[in-house]
Amino acid sequence: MATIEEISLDLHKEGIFGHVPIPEDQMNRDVIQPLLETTWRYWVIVIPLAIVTLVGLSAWGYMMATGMYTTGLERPGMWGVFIANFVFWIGLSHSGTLISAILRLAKADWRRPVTRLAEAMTLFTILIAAQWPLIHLGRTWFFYYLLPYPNQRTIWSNLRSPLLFDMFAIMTYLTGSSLYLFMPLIPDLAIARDYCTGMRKKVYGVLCLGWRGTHQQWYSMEKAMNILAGLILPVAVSVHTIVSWDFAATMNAAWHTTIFGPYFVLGAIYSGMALVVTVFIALRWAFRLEAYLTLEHLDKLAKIILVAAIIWTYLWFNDYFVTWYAHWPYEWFTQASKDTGPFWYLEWYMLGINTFVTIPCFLFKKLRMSTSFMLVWSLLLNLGMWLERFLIVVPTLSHPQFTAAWRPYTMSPVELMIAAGAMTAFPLLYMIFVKLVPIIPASECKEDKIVASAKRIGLRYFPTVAKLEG
Amino acid sequence: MQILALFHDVQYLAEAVTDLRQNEHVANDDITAITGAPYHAEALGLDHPHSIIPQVAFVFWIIGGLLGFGLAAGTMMAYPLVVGGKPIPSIPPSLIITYEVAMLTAIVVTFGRTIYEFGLPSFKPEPYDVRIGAGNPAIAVKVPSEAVANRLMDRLRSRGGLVDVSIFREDEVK
Repeated sequence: MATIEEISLDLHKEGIFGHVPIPEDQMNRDVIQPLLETTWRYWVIVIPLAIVTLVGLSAWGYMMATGMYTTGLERPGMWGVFIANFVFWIGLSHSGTLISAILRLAKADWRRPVTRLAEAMTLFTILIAAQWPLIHLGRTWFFYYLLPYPNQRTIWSNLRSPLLFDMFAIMTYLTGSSLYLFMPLIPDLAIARDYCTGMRKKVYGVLCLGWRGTHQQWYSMEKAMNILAGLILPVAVSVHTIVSWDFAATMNAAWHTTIFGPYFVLGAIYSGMALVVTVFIALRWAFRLEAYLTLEHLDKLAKIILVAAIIWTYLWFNDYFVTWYAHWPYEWFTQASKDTGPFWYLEWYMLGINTFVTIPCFLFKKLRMSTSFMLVWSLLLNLGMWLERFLIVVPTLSHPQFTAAWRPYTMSPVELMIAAGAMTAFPLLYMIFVKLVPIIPASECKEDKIVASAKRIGLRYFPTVAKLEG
Repeated sequence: MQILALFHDVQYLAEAVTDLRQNEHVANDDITAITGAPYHAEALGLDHPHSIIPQVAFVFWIIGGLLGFGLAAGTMMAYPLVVGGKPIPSIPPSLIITYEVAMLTAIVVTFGRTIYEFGLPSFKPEPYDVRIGAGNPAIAVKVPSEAVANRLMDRLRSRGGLVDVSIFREDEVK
């Protein structure tokens, strides 16, 4: 009679999700391997990323030294690519929280191998996002004016401004995400301590704080992670809602709308999920993690994306229809510039990829489970979502109510280089992170092994999951 | 002084814990289960652990909220400046800052309390074996003397499923 291990292996080979049928010792070695071995593929990825990041940093330094006239920012368009990038990168951070926090609270066991790569994505995208207001400041060294403390200039931060809400929200989200990432990392750092030698052993020994895995520690960990998940989730929603209020709280046409809060949050989840797919496929290929990051996971992620795509389309149409129906001239000029005006090709690309391509294609399981399709789609989708943020910021400011002040905005080479530098800084930081800590949460996968099994129903075996809490 | 016993799987561990508690009258607090993955304490034969993390998080969420409200509304009154025709103090924007500071406080305190309940950071020698992470769950049992340790070790050796058992002394590091 076949053992549960053999049955699960068969189910695993058929692509039916079950526990990862890998012995614990082998699992430990698999998650530590990226830390210990570096192949030429790693350097092929990292070196170009580092070069472009350095170019971006240099461009930023040049801009600080020379002045903001090197950008395309000019009245009335005083917000441009920098702010669009700020909104975009904040948005990308949301799906890390979605995957790890919502799925944890919903007790979706399939999330286990994916949580850390998503949480790390959140942390690094937030770090990148936090740079954009500083870049946009121009005189970045005056950023401390934002901090509320008594000073001899008798200046106090305007805590009634959404821009200050932004500062508090981003600070809270960054702190929360860092702690939410570090807490479940502790047991895996202990595994690294156990399997490494020399200086690495000492460093991981310090980082894991002396973790042993006692029953009290596991119990406290479970309690804390559920509470942190419950806390970080509303913070994530509040962060992007507050970012939307940077626009909605103004009196500008096409910005002053109550739909912006949910529209921004949903757009964030949508673009963030696409980035999770990109990172998922890249890591799966680069470190040969097919046994942990399976096609079944990709299918489940794609189903969540399909729901996000439908809701995004609904919210976009809600915003568009109200604008069209009211036909208020100042608002309509802005919308027309996107429909048939100078931004028409950007708008139609955005709609095309976000709605007309995604929704029909994601109805097919074969496409959802195709890594090449999903990789290409995820990159194109994020271009579309970046354009969505660009199309929120730029057309409105290019078309103020005083028509004589209409002026087009053009991205300058300096802005392009800084944006490109940020695009490469994220994967660069991520690749460094993957070399330093285990990206697959081995302790979570081991817990999956405990709870998952197979049950015979009729003539077939089906995966089952035990619920241990309570 | 403690003894560290490794087992092939949790079934043997749970049976050994039950045997020690019932027949050798070892107290629950003197037994620590050490595993590479989380198990229910009761499944291991131990009493349900306790934690006050939720209560601490809630109390400090309230405290953080009060601090945030004090920062927002208090400073509006300390620096009375009409902004956008809105009253001094304005409640809706105060709520945003209140909420963010409350959440930040709750998150940080939750983390701090959890690390405290872990008993970390701990860099002093504790009973541990690298085979635990590789799939051999273990128990560490506090014993008052070498004689008791030897008796318990013999009892564990007579049971099935034991991988290894040894005495751990404070100055010993594994």
